[in-house]
Amino acid sequence: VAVKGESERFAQFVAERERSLQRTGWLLTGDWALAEDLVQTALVRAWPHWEGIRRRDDPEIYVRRVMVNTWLGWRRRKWRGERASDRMPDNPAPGDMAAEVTARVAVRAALGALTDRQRTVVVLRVFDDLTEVQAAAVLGCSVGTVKSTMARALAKLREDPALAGVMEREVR
Amino acid sequence: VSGVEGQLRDLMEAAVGEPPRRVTVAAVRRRVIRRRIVECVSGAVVIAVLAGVGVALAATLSGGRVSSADGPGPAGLPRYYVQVPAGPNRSALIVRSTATGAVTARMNSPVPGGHLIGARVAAAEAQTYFVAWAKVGPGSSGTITDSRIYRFKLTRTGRIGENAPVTGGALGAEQVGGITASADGSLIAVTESAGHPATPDVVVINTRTGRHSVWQDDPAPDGMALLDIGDLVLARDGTELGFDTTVHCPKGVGNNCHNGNQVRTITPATAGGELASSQVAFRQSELTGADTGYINDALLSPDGSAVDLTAIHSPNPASQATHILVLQVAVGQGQQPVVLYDMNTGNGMFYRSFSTDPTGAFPLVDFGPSGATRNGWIDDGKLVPLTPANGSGFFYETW
Repeated sequence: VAVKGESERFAQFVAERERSLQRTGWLLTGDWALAEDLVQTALVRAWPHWEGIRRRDDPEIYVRRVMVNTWLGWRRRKWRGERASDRMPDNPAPGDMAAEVTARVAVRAALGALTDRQRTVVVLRVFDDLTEVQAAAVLGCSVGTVKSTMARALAKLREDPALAGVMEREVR
Repeated sequence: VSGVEGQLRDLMEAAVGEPPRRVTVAAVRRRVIRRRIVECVSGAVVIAVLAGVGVALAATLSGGRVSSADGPGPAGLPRYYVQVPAGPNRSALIVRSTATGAVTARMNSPVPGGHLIGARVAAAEAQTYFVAWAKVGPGSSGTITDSRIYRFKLTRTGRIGENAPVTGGALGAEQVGGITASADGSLIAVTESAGHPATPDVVVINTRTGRHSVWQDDPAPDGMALLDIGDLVLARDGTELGFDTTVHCPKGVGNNCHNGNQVRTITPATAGGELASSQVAFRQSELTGADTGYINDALLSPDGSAVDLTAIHSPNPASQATHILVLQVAVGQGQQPVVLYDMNTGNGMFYRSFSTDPTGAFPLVDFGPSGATRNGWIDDGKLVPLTPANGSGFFYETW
């Protein structure tokens, strides 16, 4: 059971990192509600063991590992296909310009075309800026696997026509 | 990092945007504490009431009803329900058909730049609803500059009919959390807080005269403090207002002061006063022997005779199976609760929304296994699914 000092450290961690964790969650799930659920689930699992986690591990790596494993578990479940069947009307944020919407659609579609493991590696390496060693620690695999998975994912993304179009515009 | 990876990172940054809601440590702790405490609570209560599920439900929920000529489902089942969609702004509501899930109407905030800060909608009879729209000042602080309550009514085809500000509904810089309405809509009650005080005020508004009755958490002689105010329910005739809260008795337990989760009532017709003078309708300890950590939401039924509540329970700590229960407890009867619905969510769960229609006959829920919540209403111990089948696209719903 975490003691008071750990409680404060945990609160500080949540306050400082929840935004980043949710953004990673969105890239994994493509859905803000699921991203919030994913982060909350990971933190609920981490909190009772926080002191031990902090002493022997990098807490952020640990939480991201729980997030990734939880998400992969959701993907494996047979009722993962039970999603909203009726489309929600578009509800763009103020300042949600066409370019941002285009990028969002393109990124979500391109990541969705990857395998779950490829998607995870791309998000961890490119967006979260983890090293290959850290990504391997999150995924529980070897550095070599991270490298090869990343290479295959990038090759697939380069071939993605929607993503290529957006990238060209961005470069210009 | 290669050029491609750099471009990809920029694109991801542009695509992600900002999370619409914060994940707070308080929410995480509540889930952890609930899990811990319910593991200690004896499963006997739940086991005992599980035996009576079918019989009690038939009497409670579906007795005497006939099929509706308007479509599938029992008579009285609302034809439409209202959702607060997920998203960064909460600047609109949508209306869906109960039968098909089709979106029949979308209503943007009538207040320019308005948001649904509390993400709650109160339902009165005849598919009339009350909602508080808030204007937020510039900058990242998110300070509320103006809150205003509106009443809207649905047409027979699920479109937005009347939509107008409520008399007495201009609340200035107050942040509205919970909101409830009497059946005829003549009274509404809200929790409001400016500057996030520990306990919000409860304000009862007469929508005909605009008169306010304010109930505050002033220090009571016995030191009783209400640590929060959760769900609000006005009785159908407006004679009673129930709210769930957590009571703290720093000077010891007394006649009116008992620690823990409770549903308490006040008489809204009076001029207002201290929340500490409210009466206890139901205490969690009557149900489980524990003071806190079991009840998620608790709604006084519109006739004041019962409390409908949701609870999260792990009957067997070894299996880590989690159950979400919807229970009904008769007020002041000392009877066993009736289990309206029991869902085994496996290891872990996510809880999104619980509400009822103005009659209290049709509990509307969205909860379930993590990542796969079920959206539906409870009928005879079963969850009747609605479309969409899960709630990943909304924060709250009611009908």
